[in-house]
Amino acid sequence: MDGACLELAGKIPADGSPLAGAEETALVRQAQGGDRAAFDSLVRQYDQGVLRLVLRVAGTSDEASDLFQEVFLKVYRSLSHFRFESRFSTWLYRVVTNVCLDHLRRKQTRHEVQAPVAEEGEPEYFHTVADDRPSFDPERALQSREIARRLERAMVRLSPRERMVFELRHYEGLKLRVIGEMCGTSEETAKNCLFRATQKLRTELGDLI
Amino acid sequence: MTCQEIDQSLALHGYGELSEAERDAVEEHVASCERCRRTMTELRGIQGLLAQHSPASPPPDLLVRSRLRLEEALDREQMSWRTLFRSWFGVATAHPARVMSALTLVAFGFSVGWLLRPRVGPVPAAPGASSTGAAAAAMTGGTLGGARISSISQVAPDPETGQLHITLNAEKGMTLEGSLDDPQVRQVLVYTLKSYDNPGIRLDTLNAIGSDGGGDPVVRDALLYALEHDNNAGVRLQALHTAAKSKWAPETAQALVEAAEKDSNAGVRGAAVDALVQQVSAGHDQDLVPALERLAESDSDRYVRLKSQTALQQLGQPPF
Ligand SMILES: [Zn+2]
Repeated sequence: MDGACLELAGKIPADGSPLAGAEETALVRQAQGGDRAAFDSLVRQYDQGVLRLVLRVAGTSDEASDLFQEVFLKVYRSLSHFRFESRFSTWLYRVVTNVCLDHLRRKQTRHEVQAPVAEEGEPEYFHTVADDRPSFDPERALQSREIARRLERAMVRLSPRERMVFELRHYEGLKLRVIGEMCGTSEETAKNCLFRATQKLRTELGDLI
Repeated sequence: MTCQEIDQSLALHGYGELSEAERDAVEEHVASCERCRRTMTELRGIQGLLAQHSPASPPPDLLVRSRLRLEEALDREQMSWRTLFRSWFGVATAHPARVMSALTLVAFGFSVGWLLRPRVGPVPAAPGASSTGAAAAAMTGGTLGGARISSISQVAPDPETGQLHITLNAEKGMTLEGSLDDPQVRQVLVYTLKSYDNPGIRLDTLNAIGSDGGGDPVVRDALLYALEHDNNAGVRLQALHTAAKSKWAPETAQALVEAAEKDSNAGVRGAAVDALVQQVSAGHDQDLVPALERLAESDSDRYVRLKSQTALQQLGQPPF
């Protein structure tokens, strides 16, 4: 499993400089020994990256904050079980992945019960680069919002596992082998998930290209 | 390779997930197949679309809010020894005797000395400590929560130093020192009084807090909570004594009246009457007289009625 850590050089942790391995190991051991300050330092290393990911998955700030809390409480409670068989970040993101998958599954169940309603509101979390340009064009902005809405809708079409694989590969830049490990599945399954996700995005968004 | 097989490879190609040989095979196929070339262009278009409409970063206030919530949750987590009892002994509501005997059998931890000064007042800052004081600095050193306290086996004041010595059984050993000014220390005391299973330890905690400690609003709240809610009459009685001797506060008066009128134990009700009389004599609160009158007239216990009547006479109030 140690080999997997070499491939985790993507965007995790995306914010702040990742700690050197030895430094992080020392922090983890201190935290395992009950050192709250050490635990807080670990949290600070990863919390921005985790929040960004759970915000994309959750869609609303409140839900994201709930997932964020769930992740780090789980990490806190189970830290004593971490045996340094993988890198700490891999282990932590496995927790994140599980929390996100649970959330997506719950959401899916709710969606199945309710008839899908076209969402009229502004998409909250896809923003458009074009909006920030000085030469602001209302028509273009409208078009951008429409695209953002379509993107959100397309994301909802993905199964929980496809969505997580896509998030971790596309936005977090992780390798599929590591992603498979995080999702508790094989690299082959992760490949299939990514393929199906891109196929669904093609179907949903093909006419925009 | 068939075009269907190429489809999957094209998706992986876009993410650099193909081996060199696979990549060569895909590129060779695409060069000679119009259909797969279109697919590749389409996939690139999707990538471009996603890049143009990247998800927004979390707003800074969301990060701050989430961090604060987490801090609070972790604080609560550290305090929940009860949870630890449940997970370690598998008992939902641990019977004190059972827990204590289990503790003597299971040698999973170290006994640590935990010192705190049972007095209210400014704590001298240690060299290099922030303005929040030495105690706070010691606590934020990750200590208390890190103790993973599983049980408390002793709460005893040291007659020589006047310091409070609390012996804890914890997964990892550590020594803590802090005064009642420290919020976390207060939190421990409050937790012990409100939730710790062993009444003997709750009693010791009350003794250790003493009348000095009871002057602190947070500790006083815990005292009054114990007076009102503890299921052990001995603990309620001690909470009553400690609260009554502590710096006077309107909440104390209210709690004493409640105890005098509602406590299920006549001994506690009687002691509450005594305490009320003392407070009225000391000129603290004349409004307590009506409560004494109600007790003198209608308390179910004859002893409490007599005490209240005597008290009213002493105060120069006609009993009826
Ligand atoms: Zn082809």
